[in-house]
Amino acid sequence: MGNITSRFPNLITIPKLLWLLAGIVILIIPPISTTATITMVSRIMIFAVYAMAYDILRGYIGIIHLGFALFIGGGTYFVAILFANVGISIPILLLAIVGTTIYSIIWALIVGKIAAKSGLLATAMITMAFAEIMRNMMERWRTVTNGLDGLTFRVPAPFDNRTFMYYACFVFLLLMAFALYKFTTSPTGRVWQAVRENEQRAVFLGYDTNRARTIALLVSGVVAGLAGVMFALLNRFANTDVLAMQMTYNAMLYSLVGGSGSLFGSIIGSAVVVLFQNFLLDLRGVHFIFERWLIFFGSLYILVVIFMPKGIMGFVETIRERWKHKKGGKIYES
Amino acid sequence: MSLLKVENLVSYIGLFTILHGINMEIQAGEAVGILGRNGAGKTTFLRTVMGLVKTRSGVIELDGQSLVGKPPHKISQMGIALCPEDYGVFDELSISENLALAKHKDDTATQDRITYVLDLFPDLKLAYKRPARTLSGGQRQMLSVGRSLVNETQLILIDEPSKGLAPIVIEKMALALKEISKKSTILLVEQNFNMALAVTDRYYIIDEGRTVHNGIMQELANDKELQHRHLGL
Amino acid sequence: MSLKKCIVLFLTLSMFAVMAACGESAPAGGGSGGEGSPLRIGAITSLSGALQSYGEDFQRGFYLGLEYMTNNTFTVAGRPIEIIWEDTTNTPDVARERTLSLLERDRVELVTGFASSGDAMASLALFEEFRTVAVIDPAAADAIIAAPNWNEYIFRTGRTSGQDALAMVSVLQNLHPEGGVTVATLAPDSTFGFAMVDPFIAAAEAAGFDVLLTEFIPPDATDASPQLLRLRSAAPQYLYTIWAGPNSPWIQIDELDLQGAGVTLITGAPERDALAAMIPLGQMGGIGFCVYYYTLPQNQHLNDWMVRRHFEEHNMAPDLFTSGGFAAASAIITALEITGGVTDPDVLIPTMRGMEFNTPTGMRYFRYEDHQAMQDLFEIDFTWQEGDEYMVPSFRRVIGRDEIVPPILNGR
Repeated sequence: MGNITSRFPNLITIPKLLWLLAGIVILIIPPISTTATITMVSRIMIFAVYAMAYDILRGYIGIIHLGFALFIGGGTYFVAILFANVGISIPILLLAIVGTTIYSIIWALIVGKIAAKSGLLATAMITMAFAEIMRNMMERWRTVTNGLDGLTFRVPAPFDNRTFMYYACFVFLLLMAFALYKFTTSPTGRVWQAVRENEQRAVFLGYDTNRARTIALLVSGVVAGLAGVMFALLNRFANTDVLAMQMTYNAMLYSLVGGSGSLFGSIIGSAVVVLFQNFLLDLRGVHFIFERWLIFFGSLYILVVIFMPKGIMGFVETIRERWKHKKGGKIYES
Repeated sequence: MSLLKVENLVSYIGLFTILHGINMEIQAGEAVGILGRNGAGKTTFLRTVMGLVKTRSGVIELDGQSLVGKPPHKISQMGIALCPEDYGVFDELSISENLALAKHKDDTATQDRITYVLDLFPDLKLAYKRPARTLSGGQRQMLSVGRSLVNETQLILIDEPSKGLAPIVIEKMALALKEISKKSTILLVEQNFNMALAVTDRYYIIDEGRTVHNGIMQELANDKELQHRHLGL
Repeated sequence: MSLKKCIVLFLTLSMFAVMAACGESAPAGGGSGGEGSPLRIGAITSLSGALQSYGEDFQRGFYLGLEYMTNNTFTVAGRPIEIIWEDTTNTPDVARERTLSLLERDRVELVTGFASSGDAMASLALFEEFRTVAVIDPAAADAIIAAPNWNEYIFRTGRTSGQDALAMVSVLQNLHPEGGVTVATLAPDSTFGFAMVDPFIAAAEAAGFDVLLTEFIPPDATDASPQLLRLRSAAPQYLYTIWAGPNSPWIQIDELDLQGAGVTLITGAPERDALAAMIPLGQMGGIGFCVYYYTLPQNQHLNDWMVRRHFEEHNMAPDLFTSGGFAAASAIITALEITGGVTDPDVLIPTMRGMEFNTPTGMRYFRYEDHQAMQDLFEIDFTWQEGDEYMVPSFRRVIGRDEIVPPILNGR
């Protein structure tokens, strides 16, 4: 799929009015919606952060991490294991956050070392193995994690209030989006894009690409781990599915549908995919054709890949450029 | 002390030894041409200096400091810039971003140098905000060369700048390079003899991975027999 | 738009049209007539994903159960029944959200379903929060009725893994009342595998059996020779093999001729597709226990009815989880007839506690302490004849529900 570089100018070029509208919509959802809707939008916001973190690797620095679930899974399990076995309180939550951060840092450094020595494909395969190792570990450690059956637990106030959780997710999304925005528009961010396009060129320009890559992994891993913490708080449940390939696929799909290389694309992608899935599940009662909702779901991806290979944001970009072109903007010479 | 000293350089790619013994001495301010047939090892030599290809044995010294075993980004930071055959520009970034990316330092001196590059290549000024993939081959070459001037570069390695360019563009490029050579040291790999003649003062000929001959460019221009023997002209 | 893209768009749209034309619609629920407000039941299970066939079996059984128990009126205590189906997509966080939707948006008065234990576990707390009784079938994890996951709104008509283990031991005790039996186990190295093996070992040792070996195979391994060879040389009298999903070890067990070494295979009979995978064992078969197979229940006119109706409606025999769906429906209707259609948990829960209800496998009742249904299972032979499409469980005896009482895990 194509790349869009330094596209955070999109954030600014999208009319301020739209931003205000989006902000208002998000803010007023809780009072006027069902708990299920509130939970769903909370889930979208958490997945949006997860997808943005994934896209730092895929869309910016160009690493395909096939075991990305190990970050969000790690965060989820830190919370779950501590809450279920030690106790439920804010200090323990903070302990979980610290643990998740350290865990993510360690894994990021390991992958960084490997990616420095191995090619894209080898790194992808090895990261897939890493996630499987974590999943297996959690599965075997049944006495603590309950394996596939999973752990249920309560969460400390005020996170047990769904409305509070919703706004917490919103604040989380804003904070993480801002942090990642700062990273991608910083000099380090430009290096990431250069590395993605052609690592060797970045190298003989004088950039320590290994260092840039490690920074990308650290940022991405820690953010995804924190998304895992929020995920656990939202669901009050954790099982080994959170470390499975499907969870990594989710990140890939959300960021690709939304538009890789654009942080905002990941937000859009998560929203579109989750909303579409819910929409299809809701339609079940309307007509039996929707029992096979997976087919519609799969068709969405086929259509996106064919008609919008650069994702939704890329599509918007293309429209915008064509529009500028039509308006008589400077046509490229030669 | 010479700016660049190369002694008995042997380097390999994978299992193949490409350079069997390069010997060279470049003084600061020179413009030196590297000539030879296809496949002689000229590009590999430049890449070895840059650290992109591993040195098996031999000496490469920049201002007395050894370059052997250093990672390419460190060599770049020491003041060597490479303009590779494929231009090495980032297609998705604009000209301004490509130039910005090349910066080692963010100071007025660097800014002045960027201004100088844009004056040297007015084409780049016109297309400043456009992504590099929209540029013609000649413009990309200009960007590649311009990029090498952004920092306090001690030595510029240029690989076949005239390849694939129209004659009139080659002329422009030659003039620009001549201009640049007044202020910087250039090592120019070229198959186009006239281009080399226009820009450089001295030359080395590389054949089958070895430096086999060197001398004054003007003399080579007059010696048809030498040209035929080593360059097949 | 290029020609290629047009073709793809056309094909995609045609696919939808074809699906619309020949999709099989879920049977409509709900009758009309009768005073009393409609009774909304939320039915949520895996209707897509890995356990889709289990969910669909449950669906069919549930409808038949309602039909039977309400005499085809689909009303209970004068209240017409309305069922809202939801798909968990076999994903716990989706299951949770859809359950929320049922409880909050659709305001169902009862919930039933869950084929996947993970899905069930993720939703358990919601039943307490929304004060709604849930009847779970067939999710079998012991964890569902264990502390701290269980709450008093949860009832399970399906069996629990602990009952399976006890059934297996009961079969062995019945064959060898004098004791002195050597056993070994072979199971996947997964939560499911351990959930089945651990209670079996505990019960086997309590019964005085000698457990020689417990072997585990990685779930996606295609070669179990190391484990099987070790088992072969240990030569236990009985090998309890547990498996679910692809790459089952039966072929290799046959190839390595464990049965020739004097090992008798014992296992729990799975659903039809998995029974088909057991064919390599051929005529030697084995013994085991079975939760349900349509020819097993003796003198159960409920089962006879269900089998007949199922053939009529769906042209095939009911399978393992169909019986579960029927049982869930039976429990619900039985309870509501007692309470007169009242679903308030303060009335319903005391009613259901200890309540007996009829199912295709016989009478079951909900245990007081944890609302787990105590139920009969069956001791069977695995038989196969030339031309059979799958290994057929054949009746030996009923394993009475009082023989297989699992431990109480919720602290009561």
